[in-house]
Amino acid sequence: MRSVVTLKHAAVLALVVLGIYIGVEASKLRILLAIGPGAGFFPLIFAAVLVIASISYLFERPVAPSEVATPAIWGSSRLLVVLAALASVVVLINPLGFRFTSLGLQIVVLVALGMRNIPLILVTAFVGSFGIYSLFDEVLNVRLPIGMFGL
Amino acid sequence: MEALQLLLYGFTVALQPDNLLIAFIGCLAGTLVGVLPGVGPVAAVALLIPFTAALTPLQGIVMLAAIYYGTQYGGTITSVLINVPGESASAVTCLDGYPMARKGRAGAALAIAAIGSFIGGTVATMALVLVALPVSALALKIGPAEFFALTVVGLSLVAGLAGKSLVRGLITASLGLLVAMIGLDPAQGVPRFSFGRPELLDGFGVVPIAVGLFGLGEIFANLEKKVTTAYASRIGPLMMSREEARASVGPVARGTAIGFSLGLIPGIGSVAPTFISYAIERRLSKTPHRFGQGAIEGVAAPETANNAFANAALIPMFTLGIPSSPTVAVLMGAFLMNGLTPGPFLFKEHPDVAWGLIASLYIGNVILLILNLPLIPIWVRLLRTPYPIMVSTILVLSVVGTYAISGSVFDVAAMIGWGVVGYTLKKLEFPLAPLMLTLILGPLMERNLRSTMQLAGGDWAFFLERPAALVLFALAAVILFVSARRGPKTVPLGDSGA
Repeated sequence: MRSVVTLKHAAVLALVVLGIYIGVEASKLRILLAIGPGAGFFPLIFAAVLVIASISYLFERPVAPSEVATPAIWGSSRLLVVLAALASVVVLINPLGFRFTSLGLQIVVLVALGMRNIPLILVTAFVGSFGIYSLFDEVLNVRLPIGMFGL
Repeated sequence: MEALQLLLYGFTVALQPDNLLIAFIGCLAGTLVGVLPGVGPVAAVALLIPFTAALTPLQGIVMLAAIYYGTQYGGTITSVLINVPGESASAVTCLDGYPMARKGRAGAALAIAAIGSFIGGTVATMALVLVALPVSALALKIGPAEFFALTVVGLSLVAGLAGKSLVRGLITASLGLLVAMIGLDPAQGVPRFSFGRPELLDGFGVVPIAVGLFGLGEIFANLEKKVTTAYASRIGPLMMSREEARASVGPVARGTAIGFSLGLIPGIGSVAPTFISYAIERRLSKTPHRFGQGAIEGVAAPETANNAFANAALIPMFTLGIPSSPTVAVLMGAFLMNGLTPGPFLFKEHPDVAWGLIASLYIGNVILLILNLPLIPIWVRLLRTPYPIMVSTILVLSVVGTYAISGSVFDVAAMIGWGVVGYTLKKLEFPLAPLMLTLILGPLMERNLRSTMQLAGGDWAFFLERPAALVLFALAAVILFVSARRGPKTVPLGDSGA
């Protein structure tokens, strides 16, 4: 419960800061024109709603969370590994191409989720990358990145 | 009579071999998505949008709609066979469906679920046919002031009914509204919150947000848990006994009424109709102790309500252009991406699309009834796919599906970012549905208000001359007031992927 409360406080702070920032930026746009709302009108109103609602959330009586908020350590590390793998895809997909990037992604994810059968990992990753590339490229006519090596 | 003639016209469109094939593929894909835990209907529909790029607008929408209601059928299979709901709306089916499976009556449970779903879906589609023309004709008569007021009511329902509390609903609703503001201002053409990035001049796409929030967010949350799978031993004959069939009549009828009524209201989500339907059957039953032990009424009612809800939720979109669930919001996004605007004008300007889609809803329900029961052994085999393989495949499909929309790595990065947002919101038990719904409602609201003020010459008192709009504003205020008084709920409404 304690970590839920900490997460709650951090979330409220983030939301309030976000709301204030948006409100300030919105006020730099025109709020009202002669013929009605300007570009900043709705963002300002919604930002105000966000700030007020976020502060109210701080005082809301807690509803018992249906799941324990503190993740097990192995759970967090799996999540971080998968996130890092996905972030790498964003960086590498253009230089390395879709096929190799997704091959790497799948291998990392399969290992991170506990798979240890190496042939199965390789087959799955190969089908999931090269196979999906072929599906999109040849059947659906969608061009995916081929990378600087043309692979 | 005019509606029936137009529906017949719609059938001539929908029964063309290529459109029929598309509906079949959509139903198959939807059932598959419903069977596999980890991807709900919102993420599935969003993810498969790129697959429809090579199709005509009608075919694309038919396929996506078929995927949408196909997931309702598919989710039942895992609920009954392995006590794991394939999608959140099928959660309550676990209560009696799985006990039936353990008694060797899985076939009967799946049969009544399929039949009830067919009846609920068909009745809702018939209602759509009956109300489509009158409501859209009425909608054409009302002006932007009333439409603006209608979107305000929609927002109040979404914020007030979704999730565990009004405050959390308002937070995610306002986040969705703010995200919808990103991009060029529609009237003045000035960039808003684009941070100088050309990719943000059109705002965030629906696909990265939907796939990220509902798809990746769900996967990230599940990564923290240990996933185990149990298998039901045998399916048994796909037939109900006479007593079971007789016992299911009332629940199916009531489930249809409940699911249909709630499907018309934005923000309710598909979980609430199933729980309400189950609770009512238990209350009405002369032998309530059987519920939770394998009572067929406990499967018939929620499954019927589920499908009636899914089809009824299309009615506000078709007639008024207002989405009533996150999946319908994504469907609306698909319409807009295909150059079609759902709402009253769709019937006028694209009757082939409107009536073709409605006819395909009938056809899809028939396909699903015929498809699901014989293919159950195949779905069971698929469930044995190791979870890591499922996750890695879904992640790759998410990346490629999002990239394929506009060939932009930025969209993939946005999807991952939204995945983190979705994960965080889930940890805090914030409802995701309002964010998705307000993403679509927000621009409608802004456009209609600005049109109203242009007509009024900038005079805000113009609203005082529109009694219908005033009534709707009052309704919105009542909804928010009642939601605020109710306080936080332990059972969330509307916090589902459908």
